[in-house]
Amino acid sequence: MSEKLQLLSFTGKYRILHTTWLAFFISFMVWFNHAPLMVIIREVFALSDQEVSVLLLLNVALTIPARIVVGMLVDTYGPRRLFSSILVVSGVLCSFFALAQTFQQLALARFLLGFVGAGFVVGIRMIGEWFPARQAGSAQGIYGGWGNFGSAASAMLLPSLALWFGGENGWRYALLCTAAISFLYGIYYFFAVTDTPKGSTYFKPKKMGAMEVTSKGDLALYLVMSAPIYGALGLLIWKLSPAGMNWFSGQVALVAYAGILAIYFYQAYKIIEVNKGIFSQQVPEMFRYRFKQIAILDLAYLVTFGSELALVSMLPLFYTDTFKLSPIVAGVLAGAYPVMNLFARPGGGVLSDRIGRKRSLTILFAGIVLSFMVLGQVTADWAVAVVVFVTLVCGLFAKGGSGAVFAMVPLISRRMTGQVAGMAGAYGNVGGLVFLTVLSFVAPQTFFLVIGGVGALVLVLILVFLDEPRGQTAEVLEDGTVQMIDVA
Amino acid sequence: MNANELISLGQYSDRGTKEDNQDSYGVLVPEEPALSHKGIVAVLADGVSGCDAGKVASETCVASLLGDYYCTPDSWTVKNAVEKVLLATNRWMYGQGQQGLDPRKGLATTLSALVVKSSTGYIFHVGDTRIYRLRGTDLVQLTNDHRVWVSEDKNYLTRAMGIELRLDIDYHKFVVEPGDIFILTTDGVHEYLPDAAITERVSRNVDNLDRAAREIARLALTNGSPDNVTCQIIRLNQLPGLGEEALYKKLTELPFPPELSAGMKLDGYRILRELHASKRTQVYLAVDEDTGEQVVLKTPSVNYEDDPVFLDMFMHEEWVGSRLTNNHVLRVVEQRRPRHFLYYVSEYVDGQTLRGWMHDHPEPDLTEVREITDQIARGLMAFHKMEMIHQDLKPENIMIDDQGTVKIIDFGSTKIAGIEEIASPLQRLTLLGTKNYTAPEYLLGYPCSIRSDIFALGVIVYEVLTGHLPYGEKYDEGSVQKMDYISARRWVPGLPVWIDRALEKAVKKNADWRYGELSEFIHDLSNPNEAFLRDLDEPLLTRDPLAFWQGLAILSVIINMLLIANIFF
Repeated sequence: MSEKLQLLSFTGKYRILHTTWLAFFISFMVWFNHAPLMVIIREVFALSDQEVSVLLLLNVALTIPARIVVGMLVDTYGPRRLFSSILVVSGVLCSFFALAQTFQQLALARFLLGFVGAGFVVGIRMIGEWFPARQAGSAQGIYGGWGNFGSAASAMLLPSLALWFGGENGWRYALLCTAAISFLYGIYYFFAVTDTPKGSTYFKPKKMGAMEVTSKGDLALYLVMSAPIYGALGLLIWKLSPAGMNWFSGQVALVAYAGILAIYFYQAYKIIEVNKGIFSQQVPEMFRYRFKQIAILDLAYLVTFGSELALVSMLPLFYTDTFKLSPIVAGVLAGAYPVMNLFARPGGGVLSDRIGRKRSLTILFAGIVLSFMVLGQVTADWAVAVVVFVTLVCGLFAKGGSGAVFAMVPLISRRMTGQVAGMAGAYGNVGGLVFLTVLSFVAPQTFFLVIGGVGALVLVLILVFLDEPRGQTAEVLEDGTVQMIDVA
Repeated sequence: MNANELISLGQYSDRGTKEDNQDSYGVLVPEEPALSHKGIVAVLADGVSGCDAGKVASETCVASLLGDYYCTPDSWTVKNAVEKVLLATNRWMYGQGQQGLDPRKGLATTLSALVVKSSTGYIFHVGDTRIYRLRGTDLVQLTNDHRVWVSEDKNYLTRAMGIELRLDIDYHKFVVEPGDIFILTTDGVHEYLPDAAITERVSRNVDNLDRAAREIARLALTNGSPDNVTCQIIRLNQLPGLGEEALYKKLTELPFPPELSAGMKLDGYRILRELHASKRTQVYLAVDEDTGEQVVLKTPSVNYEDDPVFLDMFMHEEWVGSRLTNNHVLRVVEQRRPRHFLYYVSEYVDGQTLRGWMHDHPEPDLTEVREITDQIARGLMAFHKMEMIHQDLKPENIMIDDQGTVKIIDFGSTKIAGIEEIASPLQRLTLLGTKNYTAPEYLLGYPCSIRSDIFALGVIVYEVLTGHLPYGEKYDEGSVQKMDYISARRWVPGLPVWIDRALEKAVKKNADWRYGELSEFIHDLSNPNEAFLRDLDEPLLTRDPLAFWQGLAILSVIINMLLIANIFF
């Protein structure tokens, strides 16, 4: 390889990489800054367990539609303006959360902050513009892995920071710090980067609105697979409606259901509109692909990233409640979980390259199922160190699984990589929302078992239905001659 | 595609009651790629009977069209190519006629030609031969007879090839459909038959068009035609060119090369190092192991492995380069060994881009700038001569070698008129250039022309001279309407006014107000244009309204103060 990533460099595209992963890092820091402080917030506002779980839920709810909106906006306005805006706006929203006086205000702020979670797609586009294909994979691994570390930073630093400020409002000052960082960095980012290298064009992709599928069966599968994305929002409304928390009236819930249903039908209409060609003629061979591959990756990411979102949100409270630890100790221990991102996610990608897509996913999912099953057995009698170790093993497999999923995403259909990645990402958030909803009904142990169970189902799907992507690879002979060999 | 599958043909010609047959006709269905790029040609010429050399005239016309048309550049439109060939033939025929003293001995002929390229038919017509189209049972005459009737039984041919130096050719195009039947006849046929007879004979003999042609011509003779009779029938069974599946197959025929590194060998090229890699392509310096020549290898990025629009653009880049031979355009190296991967090879220009040069020369000498501009313009003219528009001219796409020779590189965005005529399932991207150098017509969705390239060159020269852009950095589709030209003299006060005016004219937002030819722009950069100097004395109000009103306001304040002072003292 003629040029490795030069991570110590801070010029050209490396400058973009560093400023962008830091932007993502900060967005993640803000997105999960409530988790380690939840113990304090719960006390200050005298929240019930249900109310705590609603806050955790709301935080990941808006992210699902926001991803779609942000995806479209980034095509129009470019990553630079969008990432800056997201950071500045989330700085303001985060201040609002920090200064909230009632549970309603907390809930609204957390709901709106869900928007921050959509920053991921923006950076992916930025990296894609600046790095050639050869380096894009590693650059995006660094971007995603190091950026995700933001939630660890929150978990480790914020409780101490709150304590350092002291007083009953210490936690508010700690949150305001992250708000200020986000706000100021958003402004800095605007002036520090450009959307493309000088002299190249920022292409606006053709207006699509939906992915192209290549057979009628796949169209049906696509329509089915689009439903859970909206179904997850329905779940949230159900949770807040008279049937659950009784937060708003039955009428409001009905209107909200109708709205979600309308959006789904609109999406379904777009999907059919984009794909109506397959009814009249055959799709040329070079474009054909199997949608089931995407469906399985979506479900796999639902488990890997969904469990990560859920665990990052609940681990600090889990440690505090189960082992009666102080918020600071719980924060540091919980912070160790996202740290796994630094190497587990890229590691999953490397494993996938080395031993094959299907095999790596199988191994990693077996690990996920086993480790979550073990976690489901935890009681207060267990040694803290053992429990922390098991969660780290869970994290290792889950994040490795995320890496393996995204290593396979570009191999489904190059042309639609962005859309496939977007859909998988949405499923990750659906997973977070679903798992946190489950958590609001059951004990953490059962919650872990549910994740393990879903993981087992996906493992079966992977074993039965996932096809190893076929392709050609080149072989370099001893004298340097490059030859093509077909991979079956 | 086999010629017999593509069309069915029927031909018949007879001298009738005349001594000799002065009609000539022919059809050519070429092999690929000419079939896609040039299409099928059918032609019929009727040597004018008043001339001795009628046969020579009609044969010459048919032969030159069937031969020379296929030798015109593939990038030309059908219209341009056929007109150029016919005008040249006409000039030659006219010249032949002038050599003999008796003008009646000159070469003259009618001519009706049909070109079918992709899904479009093109008609070229001079004189009174005819082309009919039979679609279903619907017979349409596609040509107008150039004849004038002076009395009940006397008429003259008003237009023909070879009688005048000037030649007006009727031209029009239409969409063809598979199954269309075209019937070409000379006046000896169609003046002695009703149209219905043609429809009837053709419809009855669709499986044997030779018989149809024979019956039609014989019927005309039976009806008393005193002239040569020729009838040529072509049935279009399928449209020429590649089908969708074949097109995609062609695009994906060759695999993408893997990542290359120093020492690897690809089809006889040894990679020396990577020169550049972007989201879209990788560029390597390599050496041809047979000749030892240093070359540049450009490979497509795996990001676009299944993007047909990108593949189409990538392949056309080599296509364009191999059709341009100019000192100021990057030379594409012809590949002699079989190719196993998708890439293309070009000469290695050892130097820097114009962007780099600008960086090193922040205050360039006017002479140097003229030198560079002149060379870019010469390169661009080579494009324009081939009916190609570069569309993505920018400092990054211009190389200056160590000898000072300027070359245009990168033709991935080039618009090729002749290729645009080929119907394609691919939706080509519209905005191809780089925003700041892209003419407003692209941003606003209007058609582009060579004036769009002139705009880009104008912006580049402006930037080289001043280090700024003529409409500022914020120029884009949202703001283009509001933006005003910023005088280059704001940045470089010493710049002659007439050069500033020439730049302003080159980058006018309305393409109609720009230079129509590169040569005019180049001329105006070296020679003060009178028109630009004439209105220099215009009043301040029009030259700089702001300064005028500011001045007026200050003056008024001073007068007022004087008046007030006057009251008190």
